Amino acid sequence: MALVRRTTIPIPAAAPEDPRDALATGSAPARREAAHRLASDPEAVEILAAQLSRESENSVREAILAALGRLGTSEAVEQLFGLLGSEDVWLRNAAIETLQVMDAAVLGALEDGLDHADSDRRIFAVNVLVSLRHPEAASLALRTLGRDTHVNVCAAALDVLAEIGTPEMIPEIDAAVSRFPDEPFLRFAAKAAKRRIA
Amino acid sequence: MSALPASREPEVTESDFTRFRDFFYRKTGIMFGDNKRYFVDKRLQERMLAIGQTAFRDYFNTLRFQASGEEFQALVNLMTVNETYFYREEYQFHCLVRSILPEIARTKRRGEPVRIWSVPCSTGEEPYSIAFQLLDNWADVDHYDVEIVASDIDTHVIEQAKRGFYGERSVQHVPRATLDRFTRRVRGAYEVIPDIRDSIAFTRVNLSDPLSTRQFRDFDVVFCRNLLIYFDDASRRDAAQTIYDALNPGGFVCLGHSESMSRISSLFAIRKFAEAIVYQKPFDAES
Repeated sequence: MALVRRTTIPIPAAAPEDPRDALATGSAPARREAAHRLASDPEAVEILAAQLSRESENSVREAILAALGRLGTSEAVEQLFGLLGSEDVWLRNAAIETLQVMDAAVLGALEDGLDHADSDRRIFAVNVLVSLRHPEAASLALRTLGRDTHVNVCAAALDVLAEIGTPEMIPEIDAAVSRFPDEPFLRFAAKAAKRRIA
Repeated sequence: MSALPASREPEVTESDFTRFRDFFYRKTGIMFGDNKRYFVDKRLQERMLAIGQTAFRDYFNTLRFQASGEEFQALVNLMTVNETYFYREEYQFHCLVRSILPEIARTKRRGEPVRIWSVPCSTGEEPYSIAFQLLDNWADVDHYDVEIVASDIDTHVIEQAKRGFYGERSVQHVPRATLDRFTRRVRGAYEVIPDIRDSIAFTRVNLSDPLSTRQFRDFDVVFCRNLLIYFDDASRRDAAQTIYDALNPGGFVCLGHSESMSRISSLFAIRKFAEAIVYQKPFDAES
């Protein structure tokens, strides 16, 4: 029989003495483990963010993002929102996914993000709303639809409302969409959203 | 207890079903077709009654906004309830012996073991299925040492797994010749023979705690089926990182048929074999 049993499960190697050092200089597995360890240290946001900015190994970047998400402090949220402006698509999407599971912790920063001067940044902020486990998410999407001047931002907000909007929001959706009489796509999206939430 | 009158069952409209279906898909990756409407409605109604919410809208808000996520988890459990048994999703075992192991074997030096991790192993049906399949169906099984480690967070199921006793229903998909070879009948049950029981290392593990899994390394294949579906998003990502760390470069992870690693982590490459789709840690990853 070729099945063999390793008689003992190896004892874990000793953890690196200081995860901050390991995060900066260790191998990829050591950097991942350092990120995991720093996920319980609220003082580590800055060093995690600094490493993220120069880290090229995606497995370590995922570990750092997870650590920032676990920390959930306003500083961590701020760092993650900063990544929405990144040219690195992988990093931007990973930041959105991390923010989506942070729930209430992101609300303050999210409101700022929805008012950002760059319409792309506003769209990314709207994308965070759809998975946010918070009752304010639909209201924020409606507020964005009602006052944003960029059609693509409004379209993104309609996508969110199609999933999490409520029937009482329909008059405001109609009013908001009427601001764009020359955008048939938006009227179509609003019709689809209203059908879903009616 | 008598059944609730039909008129008191909470209503789930077609629009409710569609919204719920999209939400559930986004959260879990499980898509219910229109033909599953009755199945879904019944379970939604069961949970709505269980927590005393009669309007779908209220219940949907609970699913979405409850801070603990407890109700969402209860619903996931109800929607995905499955019993475990030998040779479940057997096509993945075919993939293991016909495609994955031959590829792994080509990378092995003489004397280097092939290591397989079954997590969660529950009451042992999966790791024993792997052992049976290897011994029956992998042509090169005698040329390599194979180490199977089986882990679960629940120490009670680990103890059951170590005992290796199973009823007729649990082994109904195992060929008779295989049962005759690897089990013996004891008081109407099937007991896995000691040679196989003793070849598997059973251990406890919490997969969503990366720091507690540091001793699980150097695996070539990880079977992690129908577990991630029960985790929240953050824990799912932690588990994906644990699996990534546990695998050798080029190692494979097999998930349940309704699970997708692509929805959890971008660290793994998709491998489409003739028998199944599995996920692979890149060869150029630092182990």
